[in-house]
Amino acid sequence: MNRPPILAPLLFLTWLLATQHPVQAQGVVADISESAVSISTGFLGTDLLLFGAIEPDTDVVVVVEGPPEVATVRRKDRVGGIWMNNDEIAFSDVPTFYAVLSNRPVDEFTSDVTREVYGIGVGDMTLKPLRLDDQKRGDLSVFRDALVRAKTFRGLYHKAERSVSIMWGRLFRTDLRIPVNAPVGSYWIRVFLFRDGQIVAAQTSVLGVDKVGLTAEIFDLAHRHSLAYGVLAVLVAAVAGWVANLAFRKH
Amino acid sequence: MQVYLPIAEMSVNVFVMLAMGVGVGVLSGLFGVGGGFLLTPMLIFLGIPADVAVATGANQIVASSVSGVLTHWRRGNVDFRMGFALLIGGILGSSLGTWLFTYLRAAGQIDLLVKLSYVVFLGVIGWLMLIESARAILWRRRKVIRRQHVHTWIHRLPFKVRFRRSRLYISVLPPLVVGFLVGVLSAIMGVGGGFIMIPAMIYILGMPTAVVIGTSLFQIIFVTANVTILQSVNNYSVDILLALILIAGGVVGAHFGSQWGSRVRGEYLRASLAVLVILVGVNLAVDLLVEPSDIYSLADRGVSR
Repeated sequence: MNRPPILAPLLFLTWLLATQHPVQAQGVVADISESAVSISTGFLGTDLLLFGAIEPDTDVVVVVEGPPEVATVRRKDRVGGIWMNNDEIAFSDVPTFYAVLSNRPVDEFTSDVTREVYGIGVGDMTLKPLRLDDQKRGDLSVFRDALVRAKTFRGLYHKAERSVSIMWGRLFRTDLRIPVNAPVGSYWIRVFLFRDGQIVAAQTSVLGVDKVGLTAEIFDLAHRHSLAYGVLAVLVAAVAGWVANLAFRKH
Repeated sequence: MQVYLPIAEMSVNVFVMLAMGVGVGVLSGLFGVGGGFLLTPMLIFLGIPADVAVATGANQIVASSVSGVLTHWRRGNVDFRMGFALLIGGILGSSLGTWLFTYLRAAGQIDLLVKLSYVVFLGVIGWLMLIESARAILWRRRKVIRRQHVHTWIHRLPFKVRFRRSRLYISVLPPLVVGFLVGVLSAIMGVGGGFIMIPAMIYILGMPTAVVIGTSLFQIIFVTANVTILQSVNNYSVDILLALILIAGGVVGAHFGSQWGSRVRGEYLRASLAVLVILVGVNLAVDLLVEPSDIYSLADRGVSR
């Protein structure tokens, strides 16, 4: 998976911030219990442990973003007595997965501007419409909220405001839930340290979520050789039907 | 036991899916229909994305119709010539249907189309079946003799072909058209179309009841195979793992269903099938008429990507 384009400027900013504070070089050191998540036939979702060392008297915010996608939100209206999709807005660069974990509510120690610049918080993400003329629509925010609502309902967007625990003022740990419907790709994990509302350190790492084994082979075949896959599906079904017929014929 | 489905991208309970396969198999064995019209809505109800449900349903029907047609073939109850005429129409129709499906999916109207087709066809067929079987139950003694050679406009059409097994000498056009229309529906609804094809064969084409099921199953194999392949190429929506689980349950269910079916009176069977069909139709109609809890929805993955 490619690096999400919206992240590029943010990463640069993060790097700038990190280099401007050489005295706090140690800043934050974080790691994940697994470097990759494998989706196999038995996958039920997984809990990862995120942990690390921080500076004292800081607040910790962890932002996890899945690979971006184009997401379309539709609105149903009653047309001739029937509820049908009647309007839509497509958003570009929508994170497929998004989680914000912190040791206390982020709005207690960050400003709106900071949250918007760094894309911290489910409600503070800048979701841009794919088509420019949708930009001016008055009901854009309603569609945007609906997108976040639907993603949250599916367990793909997640905000846990007290899930980061800080021990002895120097260590932090938190659980990150990767749900069963998590999309595959690269997940960007950013850990921010805040002191007095300012970012004092940040670290970015990548977590790969990939299908493995049979699941991966079936998925690859279906997408790369879709014709062969379709023919195979038909043949398998035909043979299964034939075998079943023979098996039950003897009775 | 949970299994992660590679194409549906979700985890399902194997036993729930197996049980559903068995249930649908029993129905198909009992009533001689494919059961797709129940399976697809049930899969959608259990959270399988509509596109995967439709495509995988078609794949499952390939297996159950192969199994069924072999039994009918041994009894000499398949009219292959009629089957070919129907399936030529069917291949064309299901290709158009899949194209329509892909187009409407991108336009966000596929759920509406699938549900509307279900409501209309299940409603109409359910009522017709209910009325017909009620009549049969009430006037059981009076034998209705269906005349084989009523001449209608159908018999004046050109390109007449002799369908020996069906004891018919009719134009090849009506079977082509019937096959075409059922093919379109089968692609949109993820069904074999037996529940539409069988009445059409009896009432429109005038085929004898004995060869109707075998011939219908024969052509359903090819139409659903076509839908499976086209859905796979256009929408990547065939989940082979889900299909296998459903097939395993389905073949076992179909075996027992057909055994029980021979012990129950035909008209009672048809009446209960009719009630079932109407219930599924009403359920979907309610979905369309009642205001949804959230009028905003997120399009399924893959759309406009």
